[in-house]
Amino acid sequence: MKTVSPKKRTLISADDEAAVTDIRIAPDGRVFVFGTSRPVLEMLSDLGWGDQAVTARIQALQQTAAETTQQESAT
Amino acid sequence: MRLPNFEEPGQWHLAHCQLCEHRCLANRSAGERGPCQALTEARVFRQRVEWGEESELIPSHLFYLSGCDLRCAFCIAEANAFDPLRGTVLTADFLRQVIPKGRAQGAKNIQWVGGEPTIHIPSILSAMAGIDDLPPVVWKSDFYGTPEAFELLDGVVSVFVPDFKFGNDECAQRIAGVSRYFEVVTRNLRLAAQQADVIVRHLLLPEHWDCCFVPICEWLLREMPTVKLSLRDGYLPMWQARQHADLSQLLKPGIGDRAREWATQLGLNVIR
Ligand code: SF4
Repeated sequence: MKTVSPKKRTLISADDEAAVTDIRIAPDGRVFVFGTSRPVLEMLSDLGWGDQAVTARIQALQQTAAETTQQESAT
Repeated sequence: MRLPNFEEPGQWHLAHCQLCEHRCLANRSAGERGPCQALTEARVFRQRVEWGEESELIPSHLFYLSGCDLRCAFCIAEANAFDPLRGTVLTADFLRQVIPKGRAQGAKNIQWVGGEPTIHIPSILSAMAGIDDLPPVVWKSDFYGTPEAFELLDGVVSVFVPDFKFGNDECAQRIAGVSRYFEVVTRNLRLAAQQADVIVRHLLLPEHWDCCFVPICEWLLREMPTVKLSLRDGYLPMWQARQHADLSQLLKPGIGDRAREWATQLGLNVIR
């Protein structure tokens, strides 16, 4: 089984426990994820669990990261 | 952003509520409760930045409000959705504290979800009016509100995300306990499309392909052929779903992809 090392940014500093992502696994192995945070999205991608829905969101994540870098270098 | 003069109509609704199509006229200011059980305060039972929404909305800062005008047997928020006394009271001060935190995590909008935000429009508008640099507003709703409620949102909401759950009144009555569902939701879809961008969401339900999924797609094709359609396949038999034989099961594997392919071939604008 592939393991994922926790990156520093994946340590969630939640204001309250309601910010926790729910992951449910059906008896047939399907995984349901509700309230996906950024670290959870990255973890799913690292694990290779990404279906098309995860892939589309990872692309959005990369775009946001690129925009943030651009903004930071502009200031 | 224009925040309209909501105070007067908002207060009026809290004294003779007609925010949703139950139109129960409850005097919420005096402690009367209609089918939604809400009084005058809105409460947030969860708020967080999420990445599971449609790609064009993420990252989105979601505010989950307790209380709802529908009683969907499969509600994933379970008791939180139906008890409007759960959570932190929504105020401008609360928003002032949490919106910057969402922004720091990259959130490009705030999104009101439920329960059902429509039943709390006066409180939401009042809290947002106290914020100087309000992010774009996304409104995820069951679309069982009245035209009067939508009028209060005109100019406030950037993107509506209607949850188009049922393709006929029988399923809506049996599963969510509401009447005239199809007529109300389709009327509101037309209203919303005149006010802002719209992303129609449909959660696929087990054994509701012919009665709900297909009629919804066909209506959209006829009436709003270019609207964005997001098909969700994360159904789980939560809350009281086990009281209904059809809702007690998971979706068949692959049904989400099949539905997206079918809707795309029909000519709809299916998005992820
Ligand atoms: S929002 Fe609640 S109080 Fe208002 S009409 Fe609907 S059910 Fe009645």
